[in-house]
This record gives sequence, C-alpha cells and structure tokens, in this order.
Amino acid sequence: MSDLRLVHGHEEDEVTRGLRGMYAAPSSAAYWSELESRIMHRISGVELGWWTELDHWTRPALLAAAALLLACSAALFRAHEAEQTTAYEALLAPVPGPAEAVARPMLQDSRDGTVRYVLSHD
Amino acid sequence: MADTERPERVHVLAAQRGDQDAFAALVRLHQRRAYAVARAIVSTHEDAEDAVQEGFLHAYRALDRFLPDQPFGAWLYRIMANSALDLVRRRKVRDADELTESVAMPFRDPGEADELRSRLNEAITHLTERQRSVIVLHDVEGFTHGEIGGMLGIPEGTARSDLHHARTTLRGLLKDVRSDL
Repeated sequence: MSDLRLVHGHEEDEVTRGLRGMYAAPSSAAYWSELESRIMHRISGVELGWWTELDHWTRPALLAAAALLLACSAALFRAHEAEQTTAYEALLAPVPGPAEAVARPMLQDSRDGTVRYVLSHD
Repeated sequence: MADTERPERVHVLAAQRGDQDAFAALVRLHQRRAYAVARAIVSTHEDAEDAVQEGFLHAYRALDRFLPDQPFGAWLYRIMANSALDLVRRRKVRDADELTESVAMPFRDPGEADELRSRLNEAITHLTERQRSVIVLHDVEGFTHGEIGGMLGIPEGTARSDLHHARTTLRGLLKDVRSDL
C-alpha cells in the first residue's frame, strides 16, 4: 500500500471509503459459485482445435527436425569427404601398363619404317 | 516458494496438462480479484462480469504459454485488464451514444440516497477512464503503481501521475462534502 493513499491519520479518507463501497465485489458466496459455474461452462465448451493439439507437438517436432537436420548435414559432409578422398586416390594411383608403351606409340606403317631407319642410321 | 503458493502451482501445472478441475480451482482462487481488476476498468457490474468470463477464457486458451515459475496472479490480472480494456473499446465502437450515457452515469443506483456516494458518482465522471481505473486499482484494491502500469500497459510514472490527478480532482470536487462529514 502506498503512503500517498487518501488518509486522515490512521483512518481511510471518506472518498476512499466511498470508492470502496461503490466498487465492492459481491459478497455472497452463492454469487461466486454461480460465476465459477458460468466460467467453467464456457471453458468446457472450448474446442481447442487441431492447431492447439499441433501446438503441443511443436517443441518435440522442432527438436526432431533439428536432430534430423544435423544427421543429414553429418551424412552429407561424410559423403563429400569420401568422394574427395576417392578423387585424390585416383589421381595418385599408378597408371596401369609400361610407361614406354604409353609414351611411345608403336610405329606400324611403311612410313614409320622409314622414320625408324633414318633415326637408327646417322 | 512459500507454502501458500504451492497448491496454486500444482493447479497451474495440472491445468496446463488439460485438467479442467485444476483450472476450476484457479478460477475459485482468483475470480474475486479478477472481478476487482475488471470492475476498476469497465463502467458497470455486468461489464465486469463479462470481462471476467472473457478473461478466464483467454487465460485458459493461453495457459500452455504461461511459464509456471512466474506469478500466476500477475499474469492472469494482466489478461483480465486487457479483456476489460477490449470490452471498453468494443463498447466505444459499437455504440458511442450508449457510452456517453454510461460515462455520465457510470454507477447508476436508483435506491442510493447517500450524499457522498451520489456526489462521488458525479465527481468520478470528471476523471478520465484511465484515472478512474488507476485510483480504484490503487486506493481500493491496493495494487502498486508498477502492477497497475503492467496491467494497463502504461509506464509506472504515468500510473503515479494519473493517481495524483485523480485524487486532486476528487478532493477539489468533494471538498465541501468531506468537510460536512
């Protein structure tokens, strides 16, 4: 309570007393019992609806979605990493067959024979 | 947490799980104070009743958003005040003429002969709606300036200033009546 209240000494100001009388809540217990019944009657008729039910599932659904997202991200990251490793390994792996065969193709026709002769005789 | 608060918390948690009996217990605990809050804002007893019912309905629907660690009463009374303010706004929009009548005679009581009361009825019409709400919530119901500010959506300083102006106005208008008493 504030000390600014309209008081004369220890007694309430007449204005405050008048206001209190005017704004007094009903005192009858039956009145409050009836009001409670009316309120609860309206409450019992409230159809909370599917969106309210959905609302109850919002938090678990968000958590599940977050977990799923994390799992997907981890899986994607791992797949990408494995792909990169395979690519590097493919680059570094030795080429099958002798190196000369790859570097020097076989000279087969007659012109190739001429070239071979010139090259072998200075 | 105080022992007296425990049952309320238990009721709140149960009501949040959909237990209507628990919500009924909360209604029983708070309906008088809820009525007082609404009555300070609206003009008639009937409107206060309507606002209380609407307020509890809103509270029931919003119950899953209430954090049980907060004081339930403060949360509920804010909803009640909003419900009462909504009702006042709806009345204004719906029937301006009716509102003028109700503002001029907010507390019609044909059988009332008491002079102070009738003078008070008349004097209150010189206050703004908000000043009236503030003085009733503070001087009659004992809410603090901060609580009133929270309920009415105004700064604490504004509630304090409204209270001061309301008292000054009433004192000025009822000076002669008070000196006769």
